[in-house]
Parts: sequence; C-alpha cells; structure tokens
Amino acid sequence: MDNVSDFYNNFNKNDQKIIINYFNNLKDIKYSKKDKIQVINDFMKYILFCYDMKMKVSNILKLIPIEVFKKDESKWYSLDTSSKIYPLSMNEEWMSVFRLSLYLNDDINEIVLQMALNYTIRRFPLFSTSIHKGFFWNYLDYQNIRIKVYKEDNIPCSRLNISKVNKSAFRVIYYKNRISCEYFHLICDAHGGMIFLTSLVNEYLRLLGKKVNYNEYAWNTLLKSSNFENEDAFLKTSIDKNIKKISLIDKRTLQIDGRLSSIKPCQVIHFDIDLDKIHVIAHKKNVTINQLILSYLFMVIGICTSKNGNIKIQVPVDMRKYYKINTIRNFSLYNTISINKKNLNNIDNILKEVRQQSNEKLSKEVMDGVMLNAKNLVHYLSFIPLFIKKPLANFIFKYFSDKSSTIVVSNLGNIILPNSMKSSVTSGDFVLGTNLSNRVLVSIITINKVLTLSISKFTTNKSFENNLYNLLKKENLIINIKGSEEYEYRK
Amino acid sequence: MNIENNYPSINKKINYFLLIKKVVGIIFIISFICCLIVNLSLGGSLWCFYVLFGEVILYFIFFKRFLVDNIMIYRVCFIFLLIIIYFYYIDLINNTNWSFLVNDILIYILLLLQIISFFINYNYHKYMIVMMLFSSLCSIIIGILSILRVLPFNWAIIVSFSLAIIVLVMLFVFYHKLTILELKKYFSLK
Repeated sequence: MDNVSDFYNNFNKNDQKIIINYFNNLKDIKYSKKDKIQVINDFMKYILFCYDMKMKVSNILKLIPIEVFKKDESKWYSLDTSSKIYPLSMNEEWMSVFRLSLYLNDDINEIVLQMALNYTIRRFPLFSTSIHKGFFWNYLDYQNIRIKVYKEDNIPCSRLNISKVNKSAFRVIYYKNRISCEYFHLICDAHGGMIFLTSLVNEYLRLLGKKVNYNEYAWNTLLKSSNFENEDAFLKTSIDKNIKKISLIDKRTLQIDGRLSSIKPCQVIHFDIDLDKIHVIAHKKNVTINQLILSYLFMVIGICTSKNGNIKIQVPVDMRKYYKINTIRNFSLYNTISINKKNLNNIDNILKEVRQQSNEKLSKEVMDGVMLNAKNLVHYLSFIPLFIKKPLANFIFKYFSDKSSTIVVSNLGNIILPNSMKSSVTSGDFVLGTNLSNRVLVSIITINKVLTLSISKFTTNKSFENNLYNLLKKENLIINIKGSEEYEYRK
Repeated sequence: MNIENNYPSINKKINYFLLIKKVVGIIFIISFICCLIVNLSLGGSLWCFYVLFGEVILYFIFFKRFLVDNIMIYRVCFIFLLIIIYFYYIDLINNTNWSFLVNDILIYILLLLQIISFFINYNYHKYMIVMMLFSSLCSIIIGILSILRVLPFNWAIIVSFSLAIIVLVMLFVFYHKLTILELKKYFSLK
C-alpha cells in the first residue's frame, strides 16, 4: 500500500477507528523493519480485499488475529540424520528439491495466499529457518522473515537460493487454481511437506471466509507449534544393534535409454488414475496398489531399456508407519526392488516377484537395518570437519548415488483432507524434481479418490511415458493427462 | 497421447554467470599450464605458482559464490586469507622477509572490518561472532609467538594483538549469551 491515508479513506469513520486501533496493536509484531512494513502492507491489502467483498470490518478483523505474530521463536535446529547429506551434495546447478501441489476449484488470489502464508509460517517455525555452516555439520537457524508468494514462472523444482541469511529452504508459488510448495529436502520429507501445504491451503480457505476444520494433515495455524513435531525422529528410535545392517550404496545398475537432458526436469507429466478402478485390479491380483504400480513400471522399464541386466526401483519408505512419531522433518529411508530384465516378460511373474520383495525388503526389520546403518554413518562422520566432508560427500554422491537405481518411485499415499476442504480441493500432485543419472522419476499421491502418478523426465526420449500410457489405457485406468510443455527439444 | 498443459510457458534463460565462470576457469587453467611449461623449461624459482595463486584469488573474488552463508564479510575474510598465504609464498620463494609485516597489517585490517561489519549489519551480527573469535585467536597466537621470538616482532602485531583482546572482551562481556549460543551451534556434533 503506497499511501496509508488512501487506505483509511476507503472506510467510514467508525470503521476507521477500529482499524487504526488494530494497526496500533500490529506495530508490536516481531519482524525486521523491512519485513514489518511488508507484512503490514499485506494486512492492509487483505482488509481492503475483504471489504470489497462486502464483509464487515469487525468480521474481517476476527479472521486475522494479531497474537500469533507477537511470539518470537528464537530456535535453532541441527539437521536430522537423513537430511545431513543434502547440503553436502548440492552444488551451483543441483539441489534436491521436491514439489507438492493442490488444485482448488477457483483461481488463486495472491493477496489471500500471502496472508495465509504469513499465518501458516508462524505455526511451522521449522520452515522459517535458513541454513548455516557449522564446524562439523550445517544447522538451521530460525529467521523472523516474511516469505513471499510468487506466481509460477519457472521450471518445476528449480534450484532454491538459500545462500543468504534471510532465505528460507522452500518456496510457495501459485498458477491459476494451483498452489504449490517446492521444498529443499533438507527441511522436511514429503509427509511433512504435505502437512505444511494442506495447512496453508486450509488457512487460505479460512481467510476467504469459509468454515474450516482440521485433521492430521491440516493443522490449526493459530495454535503454537510443539517440540515433538520438529524433533529428529531418528534420535527417538532405538534399534537392536545386532540387527543385520543394509548397505546404503549399491552397485551401478541399468538406466532407461536416452541421453540426459541439460534442463532438469525437461518435462513433467501427470496421469490422473481412477482410484476405485485400480483398487479393483490390485485386489483381483492380490497385491497392493503400490505393488501393482511398481509391477507396471518394471514392465515399462523392460521395454525402454535396450541393455540387459538388473533393473532396480528405489522405493522411499515413510518410517512413520513403523514408529508412531509425528515429526514433520525427514523420517523416510529407502530400499530397492530389483528384477533381472530377462524375467520381465510376464506380468504375473513380475507381480509375484514385486510382492515378495516388497514384503521382505520394505519390512520393519530390514528398514531398521537401513536406519541403523544411516545412524552409524552419521555418527562416524560427526567428528570430521565439514570442509573435509563436503568435497568427499559431493564426489560420492556424484559418482554413486542414483546410479545404483534405474528409477525412483515415491508413493505419498492417500491424503485425507478435512471435510471442509474436500469440496474446495479437486486434486493434487507430487513431483520429484532433481536427479543426476536417472532418466525418469515417478511420484504418486492420492487425493479425493484420484491417484495422480507424476513423471519427472530427464531425457527427451518419449518411450517411457508412451509405453506407460499404453499400459494404463489398456487397463482403462486413465481419467486425464496433464503436464508441462517440453522444456528441452531434441530430434 | 494428448497432454493438457497446466503449467505456465517458461522463458528459457541462459545462466550467463555459470557460462562465463566456466570459460574463465578454462582460460585460467590453460594460462597456468603455459606458465608451468615456460617456468620448467627456463628453470629458476617456481614463479608459475604466482600466476596460479593470482588466478585463484581472482576466481574467488569474482566467481565463487558460497552456497551457504554467502555473506560479504565471509567472502572478504576468505580472500584476505588467500592473499596472506600468497604473500607468504612469494616471500618464501624469494627468500625475503617482508610478508610478516604486511600480513600482520592485513590481519588487523581484517579484524577492524569484522568489527565494523558486526555493528553495521546488526540483524545478522550473530553470524560474525565465530569468525571474529577465530581472527582474534589467530592474532593472539601470532602475538604470543612474537613475544617468544618465534616470529619477528613488529608494530602491526601489537595493534592486531590489542584489537583481538578488545574483540574477545567485547564478545564475552557484552555479548556472552549470544557468543556461547553461537559457539554451541557452530561446534554441534549432532
């Protein structure tokens, strides 16, 4: 708002008094001088927006309580066990970013979204942090900053600038009826990211004057954060030290045909799939939906790979299903399911193999072994200074990391929205955006009975999506296909 | 397969900074190799490393961006450190003795810059505490070594030693809570 007196002139004298009193209270909010001016501006714009919608001033001010802005969370967080690798492995062109989106019925209003973010960020202090160097590890330090929402104008999951003190490790963007959050994996995993996004969208709806309710995914942003949600869950779990350890680095494996693109990802494609139909097929075949999709993907990869050898799919596992810890930070690990290409000729054999390996390799006992190994590795590396660890980790990550898997398939599962959101939110998507050697990354999310399977492409070769489309079409599963333009063309 | 486009069209931007950085990097490598060949064929002192060090310093001034904590004063400190090593190396090769005085002057200028920056960037001053502690400790160690006659003694050492004591007193008396918290964060093993 350029002129404050212009703002007040919009209201009658009675309303002016109420608003002046409100803004006098707002002066105490804890922000830096520059951010404070912008936040007060956000409040003015929001009040004017609601006033134009014929809402009463007293009702508008009830929607935007000031109290949440007065608390100051001067906290710092050490990185959790699984996120310690991310700042070590990033470089000027690459960092691990994923993206979550929710689609609403109507186009997004930037003023309301900015206000919703101002409120939501107070509830999730972990997201209002910036990353810093320590002597042994990086750490996150709380910053009382205003995070700006942007209209989407870049490639999905593009690099975040976290180099400055006042830069957070995520961004909120909107485009038409979609609200997206792109997170550096360092602060949260997809589960934590989804809680943040759902809470943000719920807050957006509340600020639009809709009645909202809360659940395990949509948290009340007017409440205070609690310590348990920001804790390092890996430190809270105790594992039998005699359990069999599982190696974190595997041998190199086959990759899908096609040259790696220079723009990453070079295209994003979303297949919307009918949940009920795929559930019926999975039930018939006596497998879970995840196992069924993995089997389809093995089949497609078999067609898209000209060389012979083992095909490995890396599957991230949300450890919350084994441990009742409700942290929003990283608490997922991964394991791989592997089938030799010569055994990919029959879907029933693939299903049998995937079911057997899923039950074995993704079991609690095996994942505990992976976790024990990760914890031990971090423990041994703790005493090495960061300036030695960083180039070493960078090298190991560059030459070994994702070369040991053909693709990554991450299934976030069925997101249960609160009833108040169900009518406003139509669907969602989940995009894994960054990678070094894999040609394709697959991510799955289910919202409102629509399973969205997203492909992030890192090659201009179209065989993967074409073969997957043919397979899904044959089973009559596809509702519709959305996606981005091709950011890189190659004949 | 028809894909409904639900993403904005992107204006593809070329990252000129990365491009120039790569080109300059290649020019630097080639020029160093040329100097190395000439130096080895003519013999004498290893002056080709003057070129290398000079290139490294230029690269850090213009092209190196820290991915984390990219604060101006951090970069300045890092460049000062490189210059100090550079001067010491030149001194060592030529068998002269001027770098002690120059480096001591650089160290106290650095300390002065850090103190000024600490008060100017008050919002971010806590991120300078550990760096100021390191510089002060470094000055104090050099001062003690000079008093013990291990290093040559000069007026710049007295100035930087005194400044270092002032910095330590300031941090541990007036900002002790913040200093201890910052040290805890910096040296955390978790």
